[in-house]
Amino acid sequence: MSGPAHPDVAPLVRARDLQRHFPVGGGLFRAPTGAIRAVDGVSLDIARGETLALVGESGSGKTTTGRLILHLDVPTGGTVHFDGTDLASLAPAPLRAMRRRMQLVFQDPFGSLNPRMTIGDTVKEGLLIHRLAEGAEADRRTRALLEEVGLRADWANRYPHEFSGGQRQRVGIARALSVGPDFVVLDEPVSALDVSVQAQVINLLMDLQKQRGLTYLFIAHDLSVVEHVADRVAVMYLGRIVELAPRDAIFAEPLHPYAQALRSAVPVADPTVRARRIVLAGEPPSPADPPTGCPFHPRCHHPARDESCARLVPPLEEKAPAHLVACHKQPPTTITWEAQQVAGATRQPERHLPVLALDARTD
Amino acid sequence: MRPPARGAAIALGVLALLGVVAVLGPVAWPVDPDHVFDAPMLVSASPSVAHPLGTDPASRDVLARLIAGARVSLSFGLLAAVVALGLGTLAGLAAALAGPRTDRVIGALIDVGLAVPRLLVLIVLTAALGRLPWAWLAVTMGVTGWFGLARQVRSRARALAAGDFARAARALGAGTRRLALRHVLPNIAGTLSAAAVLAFAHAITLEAALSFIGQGVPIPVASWGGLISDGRAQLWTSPWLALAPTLALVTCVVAAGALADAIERASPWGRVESAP
Amino acid sequence: MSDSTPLLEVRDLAVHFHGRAGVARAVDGVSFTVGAGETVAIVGESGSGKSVTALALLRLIEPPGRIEPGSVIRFEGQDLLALADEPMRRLRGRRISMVFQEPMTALNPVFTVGDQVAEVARIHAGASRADAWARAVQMLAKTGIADADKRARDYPHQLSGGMRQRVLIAMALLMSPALVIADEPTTALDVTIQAQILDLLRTLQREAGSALLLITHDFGVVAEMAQRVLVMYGGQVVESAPVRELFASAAHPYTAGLLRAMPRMGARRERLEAIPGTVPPASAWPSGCRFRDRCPFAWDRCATEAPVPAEVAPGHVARCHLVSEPARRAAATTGATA
Repeated sequence: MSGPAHPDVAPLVRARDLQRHFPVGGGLFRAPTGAIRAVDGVSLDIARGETLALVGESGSGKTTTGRLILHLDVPTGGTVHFDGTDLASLAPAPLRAMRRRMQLVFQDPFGSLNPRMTIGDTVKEGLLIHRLAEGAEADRRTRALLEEVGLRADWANRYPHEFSGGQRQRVGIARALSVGPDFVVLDEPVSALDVSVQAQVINLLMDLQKQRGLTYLFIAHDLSVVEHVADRVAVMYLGRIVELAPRDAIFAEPLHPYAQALRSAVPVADPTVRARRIVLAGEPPSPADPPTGCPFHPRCHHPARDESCARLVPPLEEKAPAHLVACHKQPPTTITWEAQQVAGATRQPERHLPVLALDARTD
Repeated sequence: MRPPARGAAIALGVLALLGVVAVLGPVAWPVDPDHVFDAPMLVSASPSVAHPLGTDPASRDVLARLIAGARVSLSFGLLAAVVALGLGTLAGLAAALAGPRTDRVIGALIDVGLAVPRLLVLIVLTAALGRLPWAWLAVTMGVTGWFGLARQVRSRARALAAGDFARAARALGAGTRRLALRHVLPNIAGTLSAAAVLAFAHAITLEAALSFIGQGVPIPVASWGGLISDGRAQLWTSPWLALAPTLALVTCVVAAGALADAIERASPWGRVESAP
Repeated sequence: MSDSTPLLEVRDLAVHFHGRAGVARAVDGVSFTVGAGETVAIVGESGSGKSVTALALLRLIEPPGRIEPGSVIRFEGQDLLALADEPMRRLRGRRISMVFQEPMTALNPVFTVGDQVAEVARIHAGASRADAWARAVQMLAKTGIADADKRARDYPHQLSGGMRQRVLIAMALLMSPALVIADEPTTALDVTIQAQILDLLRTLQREAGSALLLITHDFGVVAEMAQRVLVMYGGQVVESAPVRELFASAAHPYTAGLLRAMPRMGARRERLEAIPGTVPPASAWPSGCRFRDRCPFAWDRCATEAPVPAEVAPGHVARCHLVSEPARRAAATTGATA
């Protein structure tokens, strides 16, 4: 179970054991033969005003998790409570009303705007849906929103194709803000942008968070961006959270062997050094056929890895205050040595902290 | 918007011209198409100044009947196309957006509708319903002709609904109706207009086919198909009787086909600016 | 070829796109060299002209694009722009090869990957079917594909993105070309796979003695791979320098701005320093300096006079008026770091 960031205050978002399995296999005339476990038991809390980053590589389930939390995709298992309300308990109409409070910003600045609507109409749509404003008042608020995200109010009558990627991303942000949400899922909001524009949009998102007191779920694969924006970070691998910790802890000392490898793989923008890499064997396995036990065990570099890793699913448990890791070979663990031995363990858990150091570049 | 291709402009021009003939023809050539001249020399008379396209075996003016046929055939095609467009769009959107159960039902309906030959259905229907006035025949034509269109709408709408901007609208709390009207329909307008133009051409041709077996627009109302059918007995003695309406029908259908093609190719929205 | 002759010399390369709306000067007066075995990175944002430059080197510019007269591309002493189509075709894949960004679209979906690698050997080495297949399997194994003889019989869609990129690298390096051009070879890949692919490129390049021209937008990749760097903006090279010098003392305000705009691991700041504005379209570069609209230090001279490349230090060139105005430059650099 994931502990809240501030244990005394109820979290804004509470997800418990979220699952999303897609049927696969079969064909035109055959029944499905299995399931892709895109999300496989994700639990997390997001406190009011914080930014929780959800990090992972393609196929890790991070985007699906974001959609499940918004109930844009219906989980096949588990629950989401938003501000104390179980989203699954809501009928379609109250759920639509609830959407005012939780919004979404997309990665692709080209596909996320309706090409047949002016950017003004796009930003205004939410106001009209929720009857927050009408007529001239709606237009006035639309213009104010455009200005708030750094666009010119008199551009409201233009179509998306007249704008650059960064500007379109601002339109998408204005659309999300139009209904005055408390919580925004940012799904790779800057991944498609150039470096100079990416910095503009990151700054904008952080300013808006401060001014409006927003809570963010920031989905990303770029760890440098995540380190810049996040308060806490959750690392996903094959549909599960393998590590969840405050930013500084996870960047200074990642404990899960996958998080360690991920951290070490980030290219360092300094030509005088070379990062010491943990090179992972092979490719990530398919979520349609995940390994048994710990999903990471076939590629794991932990020296204590043994048979038990293929048999036991390690729980996400606290290794240090607020630092949760799913690895029973990284002490302390609630899975006793006896239990591990029953599962075939031959090696005692031990702290494995590969040096994430930089060496001088010699060539 | 890109400048319209020349082929599209010509096709549109031809169709517009046919439309003008249908609407204003009776003013320019104020001869009653049903008037029987009742003069022996005007039975199947050759073209002359008084009757530029001659007369038919019942000694009616062929030009006047051709113009009347344009009114009937074009209205027939339009009505059938509107019915097919309406039903196809509605069914396609419902299948794509109203949930898996609706999708399965409509999907099955589409499959059956496409599997059974339409002409056969029409023959059976017209036989069962008896002689229908032309407007009702056109509606029947539309009712049997929306399946392909619905399938197209369904697949495009499904793709759009799974896309980011439709998802954003859902995240804003948009319902199915808003999704369909604001986010799907405007983005498939090109496909829809092309399909409607084709449905129009199809209806006119099918009506001609029905006329051949005596199940088309009932006499004495003149349609192009009816005129061709009437004229084929005199093909060797008075070829203009069949030739003139055939030419009109073929021109109309070819122009419609070219227009549909051009519409589909020149979808002005949603194309990516070609970045050098 | 004497030792002083570089492997590749590009002088005044211009690629313009002649469209209905006017001329887009996508690449406009680019000059640089690549030495044998050297790794040079071209770094820039979208619209900078870096990918068009790469395609021009292989003469793969499609109409309405055109390599303008006056451009010079000399490779191994040959004038590539004067070469007939047939010898140019024989050069591609054999002496100069390319690794593309999108490994899915760069492979033909209806042939096995082994066939596609073997094809290169059959075209350029006249190898027999069996020989070519054997070489293909050997090369695939060298790129780190396990069970290469089995994987060679797979179709592209059966492989992961990382594996497909290995296949493309096998194709590019099969003939041990003198120059490999890699256009964003890891942009579509996950970070752990990116690290593997960069290592692989470096190893194979060294083994074959090839020079590598790496097109990228990622300064992390640049820092890791390159010996020399060209920074492109607005279809021009705005700065070129040895990699360490560039990171330590960028002279062009654009380069300096990019380096500051980038979030860096282990160097977290409260706020990123963004470069204002966006890249203008290639059909509407501003007069004078193309970066002046976004430059914090621009003054009237920048609007009236286009800067020419000026030497900052030996081997370090920047296309900026600041280089020739030491007083302003001093003020600009202290202002930026303050």
